[in-house]
Amino acid sequence: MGTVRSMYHQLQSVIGRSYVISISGMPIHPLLVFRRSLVEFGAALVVYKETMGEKLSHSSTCTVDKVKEKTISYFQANYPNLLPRLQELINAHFEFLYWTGPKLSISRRTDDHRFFSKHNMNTPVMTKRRPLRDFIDAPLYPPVSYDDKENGEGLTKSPPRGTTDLSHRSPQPQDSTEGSTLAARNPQEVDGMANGGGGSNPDSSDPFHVGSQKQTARAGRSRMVHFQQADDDGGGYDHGFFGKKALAVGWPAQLSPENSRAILVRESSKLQGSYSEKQTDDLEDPMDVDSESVGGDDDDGSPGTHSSPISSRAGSIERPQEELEAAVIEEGDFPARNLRRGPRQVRDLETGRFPSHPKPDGGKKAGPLKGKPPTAKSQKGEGGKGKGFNSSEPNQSSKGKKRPAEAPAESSQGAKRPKASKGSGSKTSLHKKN
Amino acid sequence: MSWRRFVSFFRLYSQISTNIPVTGFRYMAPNTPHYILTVDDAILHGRYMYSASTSQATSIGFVHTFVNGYGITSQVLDLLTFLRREMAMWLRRYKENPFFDRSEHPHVPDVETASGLMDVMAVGNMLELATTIDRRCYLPSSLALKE
Repeated sequence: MGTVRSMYHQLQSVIGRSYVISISGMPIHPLLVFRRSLVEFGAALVVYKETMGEKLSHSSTCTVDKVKEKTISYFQANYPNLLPRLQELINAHFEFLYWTGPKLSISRRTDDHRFFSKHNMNTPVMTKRRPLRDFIDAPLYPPVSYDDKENGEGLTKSPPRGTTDLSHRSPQPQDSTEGSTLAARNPQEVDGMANGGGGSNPDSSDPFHVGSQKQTARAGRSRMVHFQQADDDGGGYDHGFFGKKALAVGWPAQLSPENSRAILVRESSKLQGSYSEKQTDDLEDPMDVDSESVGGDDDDGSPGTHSSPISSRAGSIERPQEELEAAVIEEGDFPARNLRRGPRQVRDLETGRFPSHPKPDGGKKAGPLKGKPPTAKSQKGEGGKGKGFNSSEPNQSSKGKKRPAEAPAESSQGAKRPKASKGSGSKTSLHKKN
Repeated sequence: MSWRRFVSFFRLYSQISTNIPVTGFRYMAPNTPHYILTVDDAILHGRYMYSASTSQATSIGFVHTFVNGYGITSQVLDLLTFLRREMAMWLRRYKENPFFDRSEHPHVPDVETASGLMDVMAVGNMLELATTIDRRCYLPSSLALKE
């Protein structure tokens, strides 16, 4: 059952992202239509059962009370905010199993239907075309009074009769798409709006209500992307910065695995509000965040005020990525990078084995042959790996070492060279495949 | 039965049907080959035909059956199973392309029209309240009742 309901919720989400539902020209949140249809269907079911009673069928198990109890318990468990509306409809003997609401008009969602949760991001036209938060003829949720004193953005909502208290909402100016498919809380989501990215939560009982945990998660996601923003809650460390920049820049030489682990422990303890790590005090931590912006924990002078090139201080963090990389490269060597860019061991053409002891003078002979264009095999073997960090160094592959010695033999034998390698058998064929 | 015999039978049946007065009782004799023409694309499942365009009527009929018992209509026990599969098909189609060509997929309601949206909601409401409108969930041995 849950899987099917999940599929229906996904379909609601897809429809809400792709289409716009309007009532007499005013767009309305798509999930509201689904909610209204569901609550009216449930109420009509109960009323129909109450009306018919046991006239045509008699069952000791499926009684009127049990049907009503089951329906109410379902809404209480899954849609608690719709429970008052369900009770109203049952008391009013709503008896229509089909849609009795206003006429709906559906159109495809375009960029003209954008509406952002931040008031400053909306143009006056967008504000004017703000989607409705509830039905006008039959509100699903407890009365909401829109206060038009502040450009129509102020919203004062009385505590609902349901179970959810909305008083913990953010003090920002409320808009009509908070928690909806049209909502966007950070520029990344704003960029994703054209692709249909939205924050709707079809499983939520209230399409506009986003739980405190989910709000926190979204806020955390926002901080991950935009690590430059100061932490309002004093969380301090930015994992988005850590994950993104560490991968982009690479580990410096001073950052051994032990030190990196210590930094991780320190930063995680900083997140939890406790800090006790003295081993890394004198470490020049490139991943350090500005302790001043964190506040509190750095009064003891333990973490943080280093001359890190990628520190998250306000001054240095705004440097572009290329500049940061260049600064880090200038500071020191990178073992991991050297490993990645190191000389490539190439299998010998004749023997099919890897060279065990590279000759000390191999570097002198490793250059490309003069007057002879590189063959397809040589191009394949080099693979462009010599470029980049160690591009100035000559290629020390065994292939490069033996080629000058083989050059006269190749010129004399010409096409007979494959026959000469027949002695090696499968090794030669293996190399050909490679 | 060959096609020729079938056509001849159809002619005969049509002739008989037209000769019967309107007030008469029409019935089909046992072992009578027949076929059914629907005015809309439909899926045959368990001797019943379900069309995407009649999903609202399907849901209302199911509720009638649930409330009034099986005396009012035939047994439709496995309808919810069919509707679950149908919902999965709809979801897949809309996930692939929300603006798919409607003529290529006649079994998927067009939510760009109000009636299509109503059809989707009708089936969705039934699936949401499946534990409520299924009599099996009221049995003492049912898992839903135990929960």
